[in-house]
Amino acid sequence: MTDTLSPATTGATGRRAPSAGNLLPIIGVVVAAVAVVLPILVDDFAFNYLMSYTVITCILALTMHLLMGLAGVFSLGQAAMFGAGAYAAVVIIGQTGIDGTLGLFLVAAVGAVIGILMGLVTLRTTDLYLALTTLAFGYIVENLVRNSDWLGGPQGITGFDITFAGSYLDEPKLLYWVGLGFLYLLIVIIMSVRRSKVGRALMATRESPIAARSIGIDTRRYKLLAFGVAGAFAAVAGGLYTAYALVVDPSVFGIDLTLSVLAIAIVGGLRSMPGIIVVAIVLTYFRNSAETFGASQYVLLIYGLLIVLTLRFLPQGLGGLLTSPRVLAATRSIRARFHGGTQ
Amino acid sequence: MTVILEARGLTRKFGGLTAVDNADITVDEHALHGLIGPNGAGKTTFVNMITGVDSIDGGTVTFEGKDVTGLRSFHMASLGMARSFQTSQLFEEESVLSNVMAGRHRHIDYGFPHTFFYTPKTSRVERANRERCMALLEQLNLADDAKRLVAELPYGRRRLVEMARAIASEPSLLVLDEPAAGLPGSDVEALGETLVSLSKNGYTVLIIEHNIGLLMSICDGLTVLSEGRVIADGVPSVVRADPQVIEAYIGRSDDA
Ligand SMILES: Nc1ncnc2c1ncn2[C@@H]1O[C@H](COP(=O)(O)OP(=O)(O)OP(=O)(O)O)[C@@H](O)[C@H]1O
Ligand SMILES: [Mg+2]
Repeated sequence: MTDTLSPATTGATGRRAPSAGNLLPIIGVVVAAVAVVLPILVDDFAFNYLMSYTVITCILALTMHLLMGLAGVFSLGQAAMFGAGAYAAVVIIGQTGIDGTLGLFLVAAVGAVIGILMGLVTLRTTDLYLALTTLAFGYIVENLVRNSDWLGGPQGITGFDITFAGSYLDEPKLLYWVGLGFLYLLIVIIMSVRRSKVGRALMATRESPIAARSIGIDTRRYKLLAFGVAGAFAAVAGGLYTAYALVVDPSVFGIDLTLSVLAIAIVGGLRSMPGIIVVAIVLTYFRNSAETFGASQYVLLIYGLLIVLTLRFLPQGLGGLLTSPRVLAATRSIRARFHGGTQ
Repeated sequence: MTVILEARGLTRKFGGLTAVDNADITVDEHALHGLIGPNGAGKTTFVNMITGVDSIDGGTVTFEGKDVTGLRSFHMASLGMARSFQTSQLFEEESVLSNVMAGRHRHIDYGFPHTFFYTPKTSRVERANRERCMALLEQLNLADDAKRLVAELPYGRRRLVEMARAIASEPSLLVLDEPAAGLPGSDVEALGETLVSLSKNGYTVLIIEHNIGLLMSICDGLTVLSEGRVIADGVPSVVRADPQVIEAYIGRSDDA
């Protein structure tokens, strides 16, 4: 294909209007680098332990960003994928003894299969039905596990060792770094996907399936792709969680988990990766503090309240603020002040 | 002349109503072909069956010599049949450019790993496609709106974006369902010019329109549908004089 017209230098590829978006990549890289060295800087067991849990939560929350925010699939099946990953990790890594370097990818494969299955079952449904069906998936898997003696039944399994490159993954620093590795992998994938043909196909599938199909986009295929990737990473999060909790029981499939991740994704903004990550960190910290103060029974209540308030006043979540015209104008004027007011 | 699209005996029933009844259409390559008929004649349903949007109760569709009867919409589109809709189907919360870029889906040929990891190849292909889209927007006088959200655009521009998205997929058959509906006169004229220039550039267009004046002046062939049946077919001058066509339009002043 030859381009008869001269390359377009205006518009999309030309000068960009100053926006908060230009600053974000720099901030992102700095934050990412600091996150890597953080456990060395703050060499505290409890802190690192909490950090490893935060990273696991971030991975799980971003799978929701992928499914709900990008593909527009209102799935509540994260707990099924997470729980399946947890049990898969205990069986594959803990009991069979396959090292985590390979084992976690096998766990991801299990999660991808569960995700795709969930996608296949719900292909023809939308919205409420889809949410309920995916939610039911969690209950089905939970029931299967609860009634399987070889998976420990209702008591679950303890006394397994999750290893990674020969070291025990229950060491918080290592667990944190491994989790961070998977989180960064997921972030890179999501960022790449968003700027590529797959991202546009997901956008089209979300905004108007009829139009998407009219330009050759196989909407089913892209929904399944989103389910598969989300399933893989949710399962890895579940696998890492077993190294954190040292026990796996049917509660990993609970609605509690799905609701907390849903709260994070909605408050952070379904479409906003930075928003979700920030809120995942803040709410995990909050939850942990609440548990320390013995107020954990109110956590879900507060999450529910946050969901309601966000949907009422900030439908795009906190992340939506980053792209709202008013905030963009504000950042512009602040920067103009720093740069001598030429803008 | 080569025939690009041939539909034979297409039938669609909705309950007791036969919306399209044993209808035929033949579209020649590089032609501008019009499909007209009173409200509720079954034009949209007919085209929906051809493009795989609606299911078919009877008949066959042949596209570029291949039997494509009953293929799904995305499959038809990937074979080179693009369309716009009577009621806009746009990606509302996205920019004009992003809407049109989506139209290039079938031409963006990188796969994994370039989709999951933004590689130099991804970047190169994306840039090339973005430039093509900008050139197209330029031609359609939409370039100034490239970065605006579709939802913010006035009606006429939105119709144009939908057409641009379909054209961006470089279809061998472009199907348009009432692109001129609701446009002010000057825009209709511009639309006519765009259609003629598309046809000159080798595109084949099948267009549904109520603006018969427009179609009479630009079309190479016309098919007239009334109550689900084809009542006339041929070059505009002949179709216009057909007594059955005149009959079908009498007393339907809102259509003429
Ligand atoms: N999904 C549907 N279910 C039931 N009836 C339908 C459906 N779609 C169309 N019809 C009926 O089929 C007939 C043909 O409709 P169609 O939309 O194809 O006509 P049209 O020629 O495109 O009309 P217009 O000029 O108003 O767009 C109408 O009587 C319509 O009510
Ligand atoms: Mg119609």
